[in-house]
Amino acid sequence: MYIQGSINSSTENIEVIPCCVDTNKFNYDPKARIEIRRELGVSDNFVFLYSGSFNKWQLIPQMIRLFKILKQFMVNSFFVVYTMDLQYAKMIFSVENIDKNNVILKSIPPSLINKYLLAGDIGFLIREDNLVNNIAFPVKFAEYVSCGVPVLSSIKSDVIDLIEKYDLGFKLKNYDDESEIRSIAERIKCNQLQLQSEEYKSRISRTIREKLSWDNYTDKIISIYKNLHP
Amino acid sequence: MRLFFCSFESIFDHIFESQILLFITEINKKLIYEKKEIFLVNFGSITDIFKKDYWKKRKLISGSLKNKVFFAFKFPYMYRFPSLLRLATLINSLNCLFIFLFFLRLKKSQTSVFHCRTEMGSNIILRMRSVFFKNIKIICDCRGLGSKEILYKIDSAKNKILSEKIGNIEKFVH
Repeated sequence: MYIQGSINSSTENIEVIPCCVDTNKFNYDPKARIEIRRELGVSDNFVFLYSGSFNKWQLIPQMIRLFKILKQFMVNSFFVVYTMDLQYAKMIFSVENIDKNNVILKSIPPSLINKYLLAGDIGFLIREDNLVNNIAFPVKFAEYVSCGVPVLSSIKSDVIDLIEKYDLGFKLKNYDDESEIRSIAERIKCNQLQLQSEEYKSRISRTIREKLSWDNYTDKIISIYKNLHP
Repeated sequence: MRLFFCSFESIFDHIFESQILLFITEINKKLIYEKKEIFLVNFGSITDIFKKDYWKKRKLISGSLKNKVFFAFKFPYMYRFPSLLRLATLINSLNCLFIFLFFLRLKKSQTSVFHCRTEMGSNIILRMRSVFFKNIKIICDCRGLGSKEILYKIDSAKNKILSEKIGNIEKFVH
C-alpha cells in the first residue's frame, strides 16, 4: 500500500497479498490451552504473551514497562515470554527490575510454538514508529490471533485495519504514553472474561482462517505467474 | 517456461516452514492443474551446515517438496560494515548466476519467472538479470520494506539505505 501511494505512475504491477499462516497448525484448541496453562502454572491467571527474538526492534524494555503498568490493573496477570535467546532474556528482565514471580521465560522449539501460544490472553506486538514498521505485516500477528490470542499492537499498518474491523485486539498509539496504556489496561480489565472466553477465541481464530489462509491467495498468485508468462 | 521461487532464509528459521515450505506446497497443489510446478531455490545461511540436524532437515524438506528444491548458500550481508553491503550484494548476485547457470542449467535465452522473497533477494536476482539472464521475469515479493536488520544495525547509514531500497522497488515497478 505504501509503494502504491508513493509512486506516481500506474500501480497495476502491484498486488497486495498478506503474510498468511498455516491455519492447520496454528489454530485454537481449548483442551490444549487448558493443558499448556496448567503446565505453566497460570491456569487462573491472565497471561500477557510475547513470542520471538530479543532483537533491538522488538522493543523488549518497552514491553516490560508496558506489562508493569498493566499489572497494576490486573494483579493476577503473568508475563509469559517464549524465546530462543533465554540467557539474554534473563539478563534483560533482571536489568528491568521486574518481579520474577510474575514472569515466565521459556525456550520453546519452533515445532511446538503453536501449542504454547494457546496459553496467552493478549499477545504483544510492539514496534517502533517508523516507516518499516508502519508498513509491516508481521507473521506473528496472524499466528497469535489464529491461536485465539488477541493482540495489543502499536503497528500502524494493515494490521490495525484488521484489528479494528474484526475486533482482534487493541491498538496502542504510543507505547511511551502512560495515560494511554492505563486506559487500555482498564478496557482489558473490563473485558477480561470476554477475552478469555472460548466463544471469543474461537471467533478470532476463525477470522484468521477466513482472511489469512494461503488457500485464499494461491489462485491470485497463480494468475500473476500466468500474466507474466501465459 | 520454468518457474522458480527464490528465498534467502535459514532452513532452521521458523519463517522457512511457515512462509516458504507451506507456500510452495500449497501453490504446487494448484499448479499441477496448469501442468506447471514451482522449484524452490533456497539461499540459506552458511552457518546452517554446521548445525546438528542440517542433513536430516534438508532430507525432510526435499522429501516434502518431492525433490523440487535446491539448497544453496548466501554470503552474509555483514551488517557491521555498511560499506561492504554493496560488495556482499555483488558476491551474492554472482553466486546466484553461478548456481542458475551450472547447477540448475538455466539457458541464457530461456524465459523464466522468478518469484523472489524479500526485497533484498529480488535485488540480488535483479542484478543477476542485468548481467546475464535478460529474459527472466521477476516478482519482487517485498514483505514490507526489506531487511529490518540492516535498517537497525547500520544506524549511521539508516536513511540512505532505506531510500535506496525504496528507490529500487519503485524502479522495479516502472
